[in-house]
Amino acid sequence: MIPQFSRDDLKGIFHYTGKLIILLGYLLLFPLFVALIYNEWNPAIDFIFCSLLSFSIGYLIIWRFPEEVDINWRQGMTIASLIWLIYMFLGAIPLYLSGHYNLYIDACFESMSALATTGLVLVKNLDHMAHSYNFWRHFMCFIGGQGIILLGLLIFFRGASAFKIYVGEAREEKILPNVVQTAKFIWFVSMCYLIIFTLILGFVNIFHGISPSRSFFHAICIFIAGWDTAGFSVQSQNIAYYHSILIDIITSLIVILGAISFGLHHAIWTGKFKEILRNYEFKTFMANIVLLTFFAFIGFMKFTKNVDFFSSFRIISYHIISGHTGVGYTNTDSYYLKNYFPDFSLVLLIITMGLGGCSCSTSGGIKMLRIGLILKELRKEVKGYSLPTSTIVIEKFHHIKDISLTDSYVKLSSIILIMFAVTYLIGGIIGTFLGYPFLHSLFESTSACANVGLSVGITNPDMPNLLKLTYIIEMWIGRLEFISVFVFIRFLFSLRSPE
Amino acid sequence: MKKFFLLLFISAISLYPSEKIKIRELYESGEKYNGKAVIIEGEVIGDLMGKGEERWINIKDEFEDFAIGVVISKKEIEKIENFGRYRIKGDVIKVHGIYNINCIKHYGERDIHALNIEVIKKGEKYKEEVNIKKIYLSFLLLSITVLIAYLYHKERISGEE
Repeated sequence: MIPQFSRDDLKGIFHYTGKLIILLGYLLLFPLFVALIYNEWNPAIDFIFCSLLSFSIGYLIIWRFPEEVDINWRQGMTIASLIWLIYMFLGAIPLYLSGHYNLYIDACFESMSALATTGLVLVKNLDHMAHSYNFWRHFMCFIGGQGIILLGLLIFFRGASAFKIYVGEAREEKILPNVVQTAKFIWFVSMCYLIIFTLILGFVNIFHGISPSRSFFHAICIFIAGWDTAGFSVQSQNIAYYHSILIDIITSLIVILGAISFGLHHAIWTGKFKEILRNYEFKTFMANIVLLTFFAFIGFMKFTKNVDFFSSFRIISYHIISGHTGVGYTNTDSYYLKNYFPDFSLVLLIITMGLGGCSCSTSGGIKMLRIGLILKELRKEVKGYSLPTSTIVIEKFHHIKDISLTDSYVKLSSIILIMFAVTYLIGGIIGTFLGYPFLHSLFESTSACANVGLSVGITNPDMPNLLKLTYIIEMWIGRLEFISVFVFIRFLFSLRSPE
Repeated sequence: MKKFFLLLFISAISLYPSEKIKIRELYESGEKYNGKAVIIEGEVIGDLMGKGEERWINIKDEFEDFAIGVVISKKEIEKIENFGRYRIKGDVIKVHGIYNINCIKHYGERDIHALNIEVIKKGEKYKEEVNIKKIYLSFLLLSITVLIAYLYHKERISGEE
């Protein structure tokens, strides 16, 4: 029997949750700073208000639960799940106050979409949104993409507690021996790319005729949403706003970098360039992109009329990269996907989105390492049946180091794969129940759960609230990869009668 | 010769649409208008982009969240003064142009190649109104936050002692 949560468990959970809420109070000062730069006084007041609200709630909790205890696994997982919901509710307040959302649930949807780096949006009239609110939408992508807990690791958590809470946020890979060092490395790499690509995109925007101040604002937002595979954009037309192949190419590069494992980034940063050619997950990922682009392109050319070769390639390749990395950027629009993508290409896009990017990256979905491991296991089984019964088959794969394929790897990968597939399907069935075609419902559900953000138009402010709620839950559990959410649900039941 | 002018006249009429349509229709029933002349109205938003003789603007339906890219000639730029964004209502223009779902010239863009544009409503800057109630509420919250933080730190210090 799984042990119940005790009162001591609750103390630890609430104490660290309180601290992470205080952290949100500090994070809300960033958009406040943007508001002051652009003289946006009303948004500035909203951010002050929300920052103070976070501080007051956070301090209230740690005042009531002041004990700093060592965290065990279940506490770590519960904190990870709980804090994502709290950040969603608090992060949605400035969005709702902006007046760009019909309902608070719409703002919560957008907030979860940003934090989980999904990119599905319910915002209205985005083209007239204040810079600071828009920055907050993107900054939430950065917080969630990098990881709320990962940020907390740099400040609050130490020792054995750190790893236990780190795993709760769907990250099990320790790039460096210590998770705090790992967190520092992830932030370091992200900040380096932030500077490099903000400069590149900024100058490209200037070259396209956009004013310097707006160019760099767009650049920083596009980078954040691309690197963290969120797919938000400053304007309502997403990447199609720029009418630029150059922007398509740069954003494709950013999202591929965002979707590869931080372990591989570490190898590259430390000069081990051969790892790119040896890394099993990266090779599977790139091979998948090439193959799926090829087949989706063939399908598109066969069924869609009046589109020339180059245009078809541009649209298809961009969407396959967008879907596979989980970014959800589009160089066209949701109506185009709905009306002109043949079912064959849509199905391939659903598969692409469902598979997701690489493990220990900012992208969602099942992840390529798990798919690769299951394929390896399949090969191992086939080999086992083909060889004499006394032969022991050992499969190895290279992911940063040479690893022997064990049953525990395959078991966990299979569980996660099944959980994702079932959730995609449940979301699809709910969409169908609410009157949408099954293929479109499945597309949208997969996009939400795999944290992609591509849409065939179902996601809009007028969609049923039940579907909004379904997608919020899908985005949340998809980002945290199920286990910690299940532990959290158990925690909720324990609240009724803690031991 | 008569036949030539007659053909020219007929093609000119067929190119000139009789009534304006909404941007939404270009998305929902795009094939009906693909490659044909359309008239649409919308607010100019964002930025003027592009170099040389050909420029890009984006226009958005005034009342709905549908926007589309419009290719205009360099000489038309002067007509537009206000680009819609936060605190700026952009100029509302009427665009007469050829609609493409997948423009071959622009590598598959969904766009309109403007034959001519006309500003029908000038845009303007508007001030944001600061909500005084929010300021009062923030001060109240500040007092509460300071009080709770003080109590927390006081208990923590006394606990350490």
